[in-house]
Amino acid sequence: MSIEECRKRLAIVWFVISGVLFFVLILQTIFGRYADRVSEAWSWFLPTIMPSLSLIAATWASDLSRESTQAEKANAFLYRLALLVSVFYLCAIVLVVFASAFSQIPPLEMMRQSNLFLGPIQGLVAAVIGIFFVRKSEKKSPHQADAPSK
Amino acid sequence: MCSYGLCPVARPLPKRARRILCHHAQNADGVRGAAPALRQALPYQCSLGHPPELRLARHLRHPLLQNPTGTTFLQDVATRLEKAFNQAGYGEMSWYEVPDGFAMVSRLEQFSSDGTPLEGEDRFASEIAQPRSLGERLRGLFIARQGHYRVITFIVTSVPIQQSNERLSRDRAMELVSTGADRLSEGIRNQVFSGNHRCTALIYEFEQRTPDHAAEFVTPSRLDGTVHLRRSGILTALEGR
Repeated sequence: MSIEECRKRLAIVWFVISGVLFFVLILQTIFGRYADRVSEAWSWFLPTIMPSLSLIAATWASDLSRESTQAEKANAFLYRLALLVSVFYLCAIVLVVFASAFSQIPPLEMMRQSNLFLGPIQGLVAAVIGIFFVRKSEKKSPHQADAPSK
Repeated sequence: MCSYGLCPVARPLPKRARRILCHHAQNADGVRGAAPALRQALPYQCSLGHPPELRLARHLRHPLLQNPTGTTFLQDVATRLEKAFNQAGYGEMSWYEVPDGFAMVSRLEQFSSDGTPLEGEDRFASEIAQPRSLGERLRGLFIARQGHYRVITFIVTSVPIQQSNERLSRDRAMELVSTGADRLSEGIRNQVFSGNHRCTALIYEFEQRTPDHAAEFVTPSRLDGTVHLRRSGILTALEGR
């Protein structure tokens, strides 16, 4: 699989899930779920999502200005790892946002507590995605032109 | 100042009330009834008694509390109120002595926006009630769950009640039921419920805007004092006897 295709898939995962979460938080803000403490909710959410999202967007933008990376193949292990930790991390955030409706713990308190486990995972996610998006791609060998690398 | 020179009072008090109920008198002279003076909990100022700022007050008519025949004592009034509280499902209440009378305090309860108490264990829970259905939970994802709390206090006294500007917190309101006495002293019980006595219901209402917010004293309340008493079931129980 080409590195461009892998990056596109990862970006789609990030942008779709983040978009849903953004929309939910916007609705919660409009309907006054956090009353006058809405800034605390956004102060938790934005640093949780934005660093990785910015990295993905910046790399994509930079790729657009370069010549096509279509011929470059991705490291399959690194791609799967990045996809796995990304999905795990985003699911954890979704869980924090949505589970607050089913939990005894107040939403903002739950967000504060979630920093305990989201922080380390975010570090891992940033490292893996950073390596995947910033690392130089492996050159495809002529006979592996269309097959994903092992 | 009161006769002990320790706290301000707005007007002279009956000598008897001053002697028995002023908290300074209690401290200095060791005179104490069975029930603690209400000022200790509802910060009454000296013996005159200034409950915290209250939003809603309603005077109960004497016929609701008096014996149909014969003399009515404060014990009779207390029994009638206690019975009404029990019928309304409060179960637990506490008693305080106030100048020339007594006060009865209910537990902190949660009620819905129309004044009806919440059902089951949610009624006396100190946290906002959890939604029951999936639809309510999904609604709770976008709209804050609010908590409405109230403490109902009946004060039976012949002394005019004047409120202070001190506000009662919800935590302190919750303590009221545990810091009071389980019954009235004999001296109070045997007093005659005279034409000068009034039974005043004070309703302290608190609102918790979201589960992350602390409950705050509500002023002004959306509901009238009579609505609170009616929907709580107390007024109906008193009228039904």
